Amino acid sequence: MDAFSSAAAIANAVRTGKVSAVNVARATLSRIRDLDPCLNAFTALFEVEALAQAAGIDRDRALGRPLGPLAGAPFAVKNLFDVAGVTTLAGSRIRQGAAPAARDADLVARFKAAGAVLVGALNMDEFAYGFVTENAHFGPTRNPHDPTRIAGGSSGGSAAAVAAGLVPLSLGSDTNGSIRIPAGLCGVFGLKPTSGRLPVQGMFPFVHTLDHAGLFARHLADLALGYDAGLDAGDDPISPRLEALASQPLRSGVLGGWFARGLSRPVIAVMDAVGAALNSDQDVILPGAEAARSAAFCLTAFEGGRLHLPDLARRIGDYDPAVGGRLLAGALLPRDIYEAALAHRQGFTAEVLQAFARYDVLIAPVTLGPAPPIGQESMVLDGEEISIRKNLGLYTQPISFVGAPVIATPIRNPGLPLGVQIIAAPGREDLAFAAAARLERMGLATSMPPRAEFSCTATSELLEMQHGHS
Amino acid sequence: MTVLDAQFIELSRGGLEDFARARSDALAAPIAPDRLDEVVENLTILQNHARTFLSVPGGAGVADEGKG
Repeated sequence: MDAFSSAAAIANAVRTGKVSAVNVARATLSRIRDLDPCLNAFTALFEVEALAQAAGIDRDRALGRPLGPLAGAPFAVKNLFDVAGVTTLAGSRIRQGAAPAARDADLVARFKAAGAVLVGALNMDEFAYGFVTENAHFGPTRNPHDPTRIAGGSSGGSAAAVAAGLVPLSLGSDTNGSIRIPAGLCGVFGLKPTSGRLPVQGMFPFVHTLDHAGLFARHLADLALGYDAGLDAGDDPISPRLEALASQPLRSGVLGGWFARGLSRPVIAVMDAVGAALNSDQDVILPGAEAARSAAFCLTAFEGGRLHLPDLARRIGDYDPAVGGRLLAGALLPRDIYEAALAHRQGFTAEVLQAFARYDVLIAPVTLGPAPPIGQESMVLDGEEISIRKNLGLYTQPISFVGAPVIATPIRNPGLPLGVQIIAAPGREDLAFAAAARLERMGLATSMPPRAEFSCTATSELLEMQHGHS
Repeated sequence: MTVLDAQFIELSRGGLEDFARARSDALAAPIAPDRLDEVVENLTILQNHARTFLSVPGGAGVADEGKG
């Protein structure tokens, strides 16, 4: 067992008595205390509660009671999930005076019921409005593969904590790409399931028509275990058939057009490799993708802005400066524009479903390149400078609009982490898992540990060097 | 659609400033003068996105031109 062991291996070791859940929890908390001051993935540690929960699992084992599939596996949650007794911050100062949550969010409760041990809450873009996790109140979360770079967002803490080997599983939310983007930039698996498949009850809302709950893992089998743990009773689990899914015939298409615009060379290489590995048709076009992305952008701004209007009116100065103005502009957007965006969604969804009549999975990039440096505000697309915070979701946002399941899959490459989106028709998570499992079996999909073990000393030296050169 | 809403995608920079002030006052969230530029900049982005999707009829179209 080491810091990069899978949740499945930890649970197996706990079940067979090779290790106690308390010792796993202690080791996890110790590693977080050592490394997180520089990584800045966590905003809270639940040490007492985690050790008590782990002790309960060890007690159950000693009494011969059955243990859950995630018994003793540590996990952490984006700090917009309710945790009983803890104030749900959603990355904000505004929420700091709010009453503690009375009970765990449904997804958190389901993970605990499966035996997973909750160790802490994780950093994010304020109110999930951004793709960078450079939070003005809690600081930036650093990318474990290069601490001078962003982890992506808005679930940046969730991705970084998993990538750095602090926890094997974490929960996040995805409205426009907030699981897929940090998963891609940190080199871990991220699942945005079908809209509504995993419960959003107890998750602080951002855009109620687009919000999804999902998760991160370093191993595809763990992603399946976590997904299964979150399902409603009666839903079909993935884990028992993951091996079989990897051998299933698949019809795959690589998205072109909008999804091929502005890609960096490393991303093109990754897309080519995945396309070839899945024997995919090339250049599948969704003609409405750009318009869908624009409609999603307006819909997000309007719903997010209207949700926050009372606080924007009273205390806009307490918002992250990068977020308050965006929310207020969204709140001012005419309702007719919002309603037109909702109507547009139906048309684009029909278009995408038509593509799924021909393909089991569609493949798209997660981002146009690797993680940008912390503090860099713009990137270039087709010769034009555009905001990173607002536009890293170029390729994820149209897909959110459809509510389709997507696995952001880390693809082996010689540089910084890059991922692809494996997209399936709504309700067909099994097909997305099938493609990811095939890529994993071929050695192409893999979550590589950071080349250099993340450490505060190394990070400090790197930042000093960078500072000295600036 | 109100006249104000219908005109949104056609507004100039100055028009967007007037729109932002009027709309925020109506929503009881008046914009501080030092934030007006930021809000208008964000409204301009939204205006461009609105133009993009409103110029496309419904988003439905030929679904794919896949080549093997």
